[in-house]
Parts: sequence; C-alpha cells; structure tokens
Amino acid sequence: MGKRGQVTIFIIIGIAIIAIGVLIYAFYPQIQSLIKPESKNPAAFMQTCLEDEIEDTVEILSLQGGSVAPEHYLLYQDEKLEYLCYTNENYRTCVVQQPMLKSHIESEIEREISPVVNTCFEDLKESYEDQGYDVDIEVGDMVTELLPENIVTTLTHKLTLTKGDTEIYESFRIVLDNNLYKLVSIANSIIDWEASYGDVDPSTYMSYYHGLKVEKLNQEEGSTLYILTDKDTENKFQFASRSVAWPIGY
Amino acid sequence: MNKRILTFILIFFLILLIGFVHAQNSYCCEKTTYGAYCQQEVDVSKCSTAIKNPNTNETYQKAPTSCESTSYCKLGTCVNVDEGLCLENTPQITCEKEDGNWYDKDANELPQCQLGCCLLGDQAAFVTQNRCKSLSSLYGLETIFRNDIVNEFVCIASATSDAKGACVTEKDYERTCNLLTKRECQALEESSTDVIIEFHEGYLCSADELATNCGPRGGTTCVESEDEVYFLDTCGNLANVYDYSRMSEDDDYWTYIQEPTCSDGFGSAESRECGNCEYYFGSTCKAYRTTNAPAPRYGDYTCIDLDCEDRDFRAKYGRDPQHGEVWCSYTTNKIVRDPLENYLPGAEHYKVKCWEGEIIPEACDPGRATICNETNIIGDFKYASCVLNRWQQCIDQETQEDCLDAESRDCVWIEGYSVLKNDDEYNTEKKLENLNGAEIRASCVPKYPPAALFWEEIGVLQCGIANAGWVLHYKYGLRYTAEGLEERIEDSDDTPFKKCEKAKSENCHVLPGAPDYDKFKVAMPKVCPSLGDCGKSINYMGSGEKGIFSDYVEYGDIES
Repeated sequence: MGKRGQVTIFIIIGIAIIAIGVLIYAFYPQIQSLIKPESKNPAAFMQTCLEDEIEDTVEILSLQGGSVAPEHYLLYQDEKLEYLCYTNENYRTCVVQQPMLKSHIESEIEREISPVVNTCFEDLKESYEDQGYDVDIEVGDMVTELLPENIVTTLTHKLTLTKGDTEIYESFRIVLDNNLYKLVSIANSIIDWEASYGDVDPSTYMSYYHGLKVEKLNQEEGSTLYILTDKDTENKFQFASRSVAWPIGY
Repeated sequence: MNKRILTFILIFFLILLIGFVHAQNSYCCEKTTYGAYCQQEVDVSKCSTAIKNPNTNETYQKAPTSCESTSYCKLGTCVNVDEGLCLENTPQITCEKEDGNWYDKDANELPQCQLGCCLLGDQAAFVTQNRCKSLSSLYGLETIFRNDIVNEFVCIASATSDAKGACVTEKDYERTCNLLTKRECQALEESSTDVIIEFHEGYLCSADELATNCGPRGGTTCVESEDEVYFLDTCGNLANVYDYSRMSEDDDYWTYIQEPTCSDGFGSAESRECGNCEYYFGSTCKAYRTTNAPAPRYGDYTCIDLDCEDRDFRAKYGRDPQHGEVWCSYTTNKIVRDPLENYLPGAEHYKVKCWEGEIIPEACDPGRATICNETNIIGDFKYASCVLNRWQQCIDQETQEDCLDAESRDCVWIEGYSVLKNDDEYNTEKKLENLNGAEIRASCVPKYPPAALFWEEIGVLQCGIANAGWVLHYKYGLRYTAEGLEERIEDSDDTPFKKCEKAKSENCHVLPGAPDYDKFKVAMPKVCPSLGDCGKSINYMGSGEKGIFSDYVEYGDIES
C-alpha cells in the first residue's frame, strides 16, 4: 500500500471518529439512558418506571368493563366485556353485578401493578447505589384513586438517600392523565338505570356531557354492550349488560 | 261465603301455586358456574357450589326458589360510603365483595342516600351529602349541600355563578390582574402578604382604566363545559366572546364583561368572525386546525359545525342530517319503496343519530321486538325512537275493531282467509266480525312482522300458524250412472280441488274445512309474511327467491 493509500485510510478513520463524536454529542441523553437508567430525581424515576404499566393496565380495564380477567363476559371483537348488570331471564331487569365499580377498578390497578412497583423500587435503589448513595427503602402502602382528569397512585414508601447529605422522600405520586373517572361515573349511572328500568337512552348522556360518545349495541341474545368514548382524549370504557331482554319470536 | 272473599282466597292460592311452580322449576344460584351472581337457573348444575365465597368462607348457596325469597340474593341498596353513591337492585354478595355497605331497604329509606342540592362553584349536582363532600373535595371547593332542595330541576336552576370581575394585584408598583369571582379574589387577598388587591366587579383585566399589565387581543380559546370561543387578554385571562367586528375598535368590549351580540341565529357554525357558538344549534368551539373548518379571521379557535353528512339521509330527504337529529334506518341498506321491505327476513331496525358530526347507529331490539318509529319535530327535524312491536295478540282478535285498536296492539286486518280455526271435526275457518258486524273470513295479523327463528322450534311454531292444509275428502274418479253402472270422470283440467268443486255431484264435493280457494290464494301472500320471517322470501341482503304462492295438493281418501 502506498503512502497515499495510508493517508486516505487515516482521513477516513478521522472522519469516522469525528462523526461518532458528533453523534454522541447530539444524542448524548438518549445514549446515556441506554447505557444506564437516567439519573433523575426519585419521583421522576418512579413516574417513568410505572406509568407505562399503569397505562397498559388502565387500557385493559377500560376495554373489559373494569376487570383484568373478567369472569362473566360478552365476547365482542375479541374483547371480553364484563357484564356489570345481568339477568339470564327475559323481560326482567338485571341484577347489579358490580356496584362498586370505581373501587373495583382501583383495586384491580393496584393488584396488577404491585409486582412492578417492587421491581421499580429495586431498580431505583440500584440506580442510586451506582451513583454512590446509601439507599434505604421502607415499604409502605399503595393507594390508587380515579380522579377527575387523572389516575393517581400514591406509594407511601419511605426512601432515604445518603451521600454526605441525607435526602428523605416520604411518598411517591404517579399521575396518569386519563379521565376514566368520568366514564366510570357514567357507566355507574347506566347500570343504575338498567337495573331499575332496563333501558337507557344514550342521547341523555351525550346531551349532558358534550364531547362524550355513547354507543349502545344490542346483541341477538338480548345483551347490550356500551362503549363510552371521551372524544377529546379518546379514552374509552366499554362493558356489557343484559336487562329486559326480548326473545326473538315471542 | 262472600264472593269477594272467595275471589281473594282463589287469588291467594293462585299466587302460592305460581310461586311453588316457579320454585319447582328453577333454582336461585348465589353464583353460577359462568360467573354471574344471583341468577335463576332451571339447570341446577349451573349453580356454582364447588368453590367458596371468599367473604364468608362458605360454599355459594342455591335453593329451589325464586331469588327474591332467599336471604342471600335478596335485592337491596348498596352504599359506597366514600363516594356517597347508592345503587339499588343490588344483591348483598356483589355489594359486600367490594366492601360496600348493603341495606335491605330502598335508597329513599336510607338517610345516607337522601338527595339534595350540591353547589359546586357555578354548577350544581343533585346528589347525596357524602357525594357532595367527595365532589367538593375533588374540585377543591367548599361543601355547600342544601337538603331543602328536593327537586333536580330546582337544584340545577339554583346554580348561580358568582359575579366575576378583575382582581387587580399590585406589588412593587407593578399591577397585574386575574379574572376571578369576588370570593376567589378575597381568598387571594387573605393568603397574600405585601400585596394590594382590588376587586372590580364586571370589569375585564384588559380594561385601560385599571392600568394593569394586561392588554387586549391576547388570542382566543375554548373553555371547558362552554361552547363559545373566547377572547384572551395578553395575560391569558378570559375576556368576552370572540367577535371580530368588536376586536379593534370597541374599547368597551375589552373593558366590561358583556353578553355576546354577534350571531347568525343558528350557532354561527364556521363563522370566521363570530365565536358565539351554540351547541343545540349544532356548533361548538374547537381549534380550527383539527377540523376542516375555515380559519377564523383572528385566533386559532372557531365554531365548528356539528352537523353530519350522510348519503342515505340525503337521498331520502334531500339534505344532510343536523346535529341531534335521529332517524330510522334498516339493514336493507337501501332506500326502500315498499315499507314491507324493512321486514324481510334478517332485516333489523335501527335508529341513527347525528351527534357532534358523527353518525351513530343504535339497533332496536333484535328480532324486531322493537321497531323504529320516525316523526318530525320542529319543521322537518327528524326524531326516531325504537318502540315496542305489539304484535303478540293480533292473531287472537276476533273482531276488526279489536284488531285495529291502535292503543292496545299493532295489527292489520286481511280479508279472504282466517288463520283462526273452529274447534270442529274439519278444522273449519273461524269467521271474524268486521266493522259492519258481518261474519267473514279474515285474519288479524301483525302490522310490523316480527322476526322468526324459523330454523328453530319456536320459529316453526310461529310460522306454522299460517300453515293451511286440508285433506280434501272427496269422491272422485268414478260415478254411478242412472243404470247403476260405474262411469269414470275424465281427469281433464285444474286441480282435483277445482274439479271436485266443479263436479258438485254427490260423489265429489269439498267437505267443510276447505277455504274459499280464490280468496285464500289472494290473502295468503299477505298473511304469511305478516307473521314473521315465514314462507319463501328474498332476505334483507337481496338473496333468495321471491315467494310465489303455490298450492300443494295431497290426495286424501279417494273413494271409488
């Protein structure tokens, strides 16, 4: 290889090194997060660690009438829609199957994310220990609440970080923007109406709540499935009911 | 014994008997094998008794009686104390499995379920006191619960918004402003130190005379739970409703809180200059970029049109549907000329609504148990609802007057053939009384044919009502001549039925029970499909064959 060839190779290698340097400079935060967890404050760490899990759980619950594993359901487009009010008899109003819908959903979220919460605290501990902190975590309770506009999970775990100074975090709040609270309140009202009178006019709800879409789909064997959609956020809640069913041909 | 007492005793025993029969025929399952609670099951194996109720640690119960008479499935009221919600018609088990409080009473008998008026800022809700506390806490408001208001309409009407105005804050010689209620402004004053706070009721923050750092023309915005487009001042406070004509040259419009004056009378949909949207006229505030609406002359928000586009509706009524309009549709997927086409096998009724720019179909009950009924309200604004198809009693009516009693049933009167039969040897047609009092062959049949599960036993029975079959007992083929010799009648024309009728001889006559054949042939194609998805027919998809009435003669006893 001639000197010219060597020079060319050095130039190419040089350009490649510069290019890699530029790329590292440009994408440093992302690259850093790939190598090790972002060194955020603990609250942000827990929010990042848990919000996807909560979001996924909420989506499942919203599409399945509020249960992760519905026991008694109507299959609709491969989704298992839990019966929140049901009677197997014809012409009769339904029996309420899930009167405490909001509490039930809250406990379903808690149950579902509980293992991930432990993993997240372990990751958090590891992350801070890697940064030279002494980390102490006192396990606390978990409370999830559906609130207007968002879902808040509060973890009363006590985190103590020591590296010279000591920082103490008494609790962690993981907030998810989701208006399931409103949709669940409307679902409750629909159940109440179905159990008392057997039929609901979706227009009543849509007139009252602008931006809400209520779809009511009657099924052949007398069941009705409701799909509630918040048109602004595209949040959905769907469930099934069977009340005052009219058998075909009678 | 007094007749009344006798009747009472009879009714009492009848009720007992019904209860007994019901109890004998079905079980009340506390939980079924398919996961439902408190269901009446004929098949006892569907009652779940293998697993335990986690609340009681006992196996789920079952009893050969109605659920109303059991202790474990009696319906009561479930109270969610935290939320202040009361749900009636709830069995104890479903309430307590999620830590609700169950009471064997109606909600109106429980003090914690008494409704009152909860005032939440400028809104009101007719709820329980606990619910009011919960809502007030969620929205960070003081709990104002009025149990003297016992009517929802009065409650909602009592919601008054506190007077708003400019809450001017002066600190270090800088004057800024927030548009608040007097109460909010006072609260701000109480929580602030070293600040001078003034409240100017009815003023906007952009008012020149307040000399704040907030000026006019800070853009436009939508406000939650309101429909109009609002101006903003330069501090981001709400101002009056967007009105381009008053934006630059009307200082008053940026000084005082005012009612909007611009309007086209129909919600100002897609107006480039007016933000006075009205939901019930079919418009509401939205960012114009998220829609196909034209850009407003100022700002990013406009009154979008909530009306819909629908090809079928346009073909039928020559215009597109408006927001809130509801009309009938059928699975025939086409504009039908003969209304009976909406009752073809498989055809279902729908009410379709136009809501916020979307077409939302809602099926009536399956099997045409309810049917769509469309009317005009306010001009040609359509409103449709699914109404009960009251067809069940039609067949049994014996007079035209009862048949056409629209208060009681939905039936039509078809003359020529009677599906009702006399209980006699020949199963002869029962004659019905027409409006003139004459006894004629006629049928009272459903006006809106219900569907029939014609492939199942129930459907066969339903359609079978229209079956008309007679074995014609006639003597045909030979007759005796005057000399006592046998003579053969030629098998020349028509059906045996006709030939026999024609012959009208001693040896060949149609026996009672056979219809008036010509009238029967006219009536049957109407009677048969009226009873449901019966007979030969094109289905709702347009496939199948059109029913052609044909007789089928089976030879009966031919006496020679």
